Amino acid sequence: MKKCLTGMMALGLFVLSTSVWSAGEVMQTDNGGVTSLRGYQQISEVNESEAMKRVPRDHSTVDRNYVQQPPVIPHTTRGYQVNLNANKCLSCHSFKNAGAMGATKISVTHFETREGTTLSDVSPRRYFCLQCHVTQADAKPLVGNTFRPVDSLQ
Amino acid sequence: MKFTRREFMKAQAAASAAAVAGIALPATASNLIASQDLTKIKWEKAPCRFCGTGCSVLVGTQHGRVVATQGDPESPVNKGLNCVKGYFLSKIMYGKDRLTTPLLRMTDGVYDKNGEFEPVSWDAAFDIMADKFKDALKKKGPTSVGMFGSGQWTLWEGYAASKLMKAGFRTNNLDPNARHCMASAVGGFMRTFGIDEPMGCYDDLENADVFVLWGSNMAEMHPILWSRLADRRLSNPDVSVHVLSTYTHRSFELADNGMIFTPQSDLAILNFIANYIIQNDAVDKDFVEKHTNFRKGVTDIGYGLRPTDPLQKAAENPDSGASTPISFDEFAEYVSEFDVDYAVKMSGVPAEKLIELAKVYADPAKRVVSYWTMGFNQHTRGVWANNLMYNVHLLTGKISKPGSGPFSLTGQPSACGTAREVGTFSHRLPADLVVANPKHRAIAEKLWKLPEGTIEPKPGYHAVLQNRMLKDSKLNAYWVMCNNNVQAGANINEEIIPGYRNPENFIVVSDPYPTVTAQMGDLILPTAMWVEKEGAYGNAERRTQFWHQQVKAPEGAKSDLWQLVEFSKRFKIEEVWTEDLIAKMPEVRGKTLYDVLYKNGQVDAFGLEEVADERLNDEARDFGFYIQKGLFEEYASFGRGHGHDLAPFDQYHEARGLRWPVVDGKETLWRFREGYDPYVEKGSEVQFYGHPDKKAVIFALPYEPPAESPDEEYDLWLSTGRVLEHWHSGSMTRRVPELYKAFPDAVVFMHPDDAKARGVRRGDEIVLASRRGELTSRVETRGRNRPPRGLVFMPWFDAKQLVNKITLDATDPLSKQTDYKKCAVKITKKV
Amino acid sequence: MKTEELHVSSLIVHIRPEKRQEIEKSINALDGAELITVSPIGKAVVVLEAPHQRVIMEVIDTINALDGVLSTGLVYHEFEKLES
Repeated sequence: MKKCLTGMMALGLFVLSTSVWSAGEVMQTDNGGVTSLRGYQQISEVNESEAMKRVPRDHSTVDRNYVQQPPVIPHTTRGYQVNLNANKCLSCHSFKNAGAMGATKISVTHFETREGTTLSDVSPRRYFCLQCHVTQADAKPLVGNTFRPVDSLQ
Repeated sequence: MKFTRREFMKAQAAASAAAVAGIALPATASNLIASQDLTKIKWEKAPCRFCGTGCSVLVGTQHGRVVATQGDPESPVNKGLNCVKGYFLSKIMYGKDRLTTPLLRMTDGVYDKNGEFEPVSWDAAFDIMADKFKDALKKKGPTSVGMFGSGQWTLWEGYAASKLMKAGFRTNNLDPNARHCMASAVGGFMRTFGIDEPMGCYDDLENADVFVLWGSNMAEMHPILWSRLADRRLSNPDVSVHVLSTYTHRSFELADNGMIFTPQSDLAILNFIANYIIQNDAVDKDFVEKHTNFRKGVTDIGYGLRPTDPLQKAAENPDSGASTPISFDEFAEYVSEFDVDYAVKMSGVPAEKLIELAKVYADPAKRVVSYWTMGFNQHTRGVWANNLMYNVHLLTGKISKPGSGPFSLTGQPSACGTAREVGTFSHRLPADLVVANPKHRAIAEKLWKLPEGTIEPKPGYHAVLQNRMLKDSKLNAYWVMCNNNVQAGANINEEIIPGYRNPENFIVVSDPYPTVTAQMGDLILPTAMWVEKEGAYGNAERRTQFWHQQVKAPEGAKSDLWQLVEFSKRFKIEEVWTEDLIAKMPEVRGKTLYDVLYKNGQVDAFGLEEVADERLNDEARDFGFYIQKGLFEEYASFGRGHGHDLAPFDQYHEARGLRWPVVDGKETLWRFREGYDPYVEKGSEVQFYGHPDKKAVIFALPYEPPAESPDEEYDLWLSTGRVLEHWHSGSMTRRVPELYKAFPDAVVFMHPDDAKARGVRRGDEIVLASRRGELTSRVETRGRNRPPRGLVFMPWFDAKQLVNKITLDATDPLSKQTDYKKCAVKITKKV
Repeated sequence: MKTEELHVSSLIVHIRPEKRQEIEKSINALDGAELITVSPIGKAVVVLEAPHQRVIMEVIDTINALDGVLSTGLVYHEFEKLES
């Protein structure tokens, strides 16, 4: 058994020192005084709705956390069709159109097939763009994230 | 030295290629490499933490932290691709509220069920926990303790848990959250084939002419398989895709034949197809003759509700999986009433679409793969749905060959590996053995070096029953590990909260993060995750994949394996076993469960010299032996020579996974077929060797209605599910800002006319209510999911909204898996 | 202000080990290509840089056509817009 770890407090864990219930009440707290992604609300209570978050029509490109990360989409994609007949994303981001449209060019990694052959256009296995590239709603993260990119990207 | 962006990019490029090729970059190569020292990233493989696809990723670490992840180009599963969740794996461990100390509900410094969480040491945590387990064992015996585990456990975590519970505490009250996910698939496999898990593999994706998705939104839930399927479809105009669901979703974007059917009517459609095949003389008579039997199953089997429930009382054969042999002609007669008119009436799908679907199965020239996930499995007739799907493939002989076969996809990264193969279900033991079979128990007791009679014959409490037994005070000391069942289980208000907060119960929750389940518990244990430990997962195509520990867990957090094994040291054999049992093996007297279960000469057979000095392996160094290897090799001894052969441990650290059975170093791509499967005898062509007669069973089973359907008051169907950007309850993905912003809060997807009829518009706040409770949410009428009128869809990842407060805890009576896809709800505008 | 691009890629090139010297010379002679290392079984790591992705593709084609090259696999591609 590991020796008793002293003086530890969970990083960023909100352990409240006082109970939300007064001593006279028989009601117990079902959150135990701890916050989760539910917030501090009791689990047995009915929630309040969050306002619906909006995806901004257009914002500047977002830096990546590491070079292998697919860039996020800096605009709304509402109404975009990507199906058997059409691919709205490629109408701006394809190799051919990107220059004229002022859009980010699709990476050549997307031209490679499963077997490793490089095609002259997007490989069909990369056809559904939204599997990897996602929009970003105007929302404040629920909790912080302490991920740190490599030094040279900071 | 600050070096240029250009140099950095080149260094990255070189390092990535070297990592993929598995070669070291020489220090002398160029300036480029010299400058690389500053940005040196170490790349190693690991399977993705999320779904059952089992993609391999390369994890980049630097200064003891994960700094990047990328798709593994060497992996046959994903060939360099990931979905958006996979690409953001590098951030899942760094949520700011990681737990780093055990927390116990206390008042004035002592444990109090009604107290609030305060930090305690691991010692103090295990003290109170051991007290509570011993207390329960003493008062009420082994059935009063139990554990709820996970298809996200590593193989050895599940295996160590199975030993601790089934042999140590002698309770079968161990079940994984995989019960919610693919228990019906297991039931279907065992009933039709007598052996679990798919016969085919992902190579079918490059070989099929037709894909049929039955209750699977592969585009969001198995994105990399979807990219392989899309690749095949878009490169070959003759390939067609058929998609069936109760609402329109992203997989319909590629559908040549998309079908929206009335919930539960998949049973009618499957029987119609079987009938169509027979009527159109498309039966592969030779195959059916040689390799199948026909049986008729009993009907009116209930809904897995409490025995006191009126629906349950009304059932004629509750929970019965019995069946009687019939002939082919009797089967043909049985399905003859399922004609196209009947199928149209039941399903609402136009006749021409159903016929187009039936035709592709009936056409002998077309190779067809059928995929399904939760649509079939989370179904009050889930085992039947699986059986009926197999009927179609067996009648046509389209099975166990490249590009043809029925393929049950799993949801979790090790639902196949840890839940099914290791056997962490309440009725199972490793390698398809079951506790109810005395021969099987004897095998396990022998391999575990335990006295005969250690393992209890009666299956334990399954997932849903565990919650009921907590509420009924029958299950009193309970350990929840590697899952979030307060959010994931159905009917939270009536069947979960009461049990967790029952003053007679002590609930332990192990998790890296504070979840709603942790909040509802009494003791929270901070847990190491993913590449903070050495692990192994088994994916949906029988591929076993390993990874090394790559970073240290935050100080104070411990892996599930460490927790299980360390806790076993707290129990003397005399405290958990009866005198009768000890008398059969007196040498165990005075020993601890740790000595008997893990220091048994097998689990501790491999020394620390097998762990390279530069390798992290916290558990091995804590216990003093290569515990992961010992557990794996002991576990593998169950299946070797019995159709579940695994390769030697070390081989998996080298390979990008291997598909079992691995015989003579060779993996098996298609089971049951000669030439692919070494267990099939020469000259026999096909052998379904799970059954003694080596034949599969075609079942005559009808349509039966769901447990709850919309009525005048609760006038809408509710289906729940996942979204691409979030994994299960969102405890990892919602802590990654990019994934959170990609899909921030759960919404209720509904038809615009249904919204209008209730006076609500997109974005309005609504009350969503069932007979079991209510929640508030927002309406979405234009999103990625487009339900037909009469049905709404809501994802369950949102801990604020907790959609499972209103779902029904009805299960398939055979598999005990909950139907999360069908219950009746109403929607009103919130005022 | 004109924007220029810098594209960086890396490849694994499978080669016949006996042709190593000629291939190394040929690759290093290509504009923006650098052969970093070759393993004994003939897996070479090559880094490419170019102002345009079309150039990268052309260089890959050229490498593919070299005598003794069995296959090329693109592992990595990254580009930046440079302000000049």
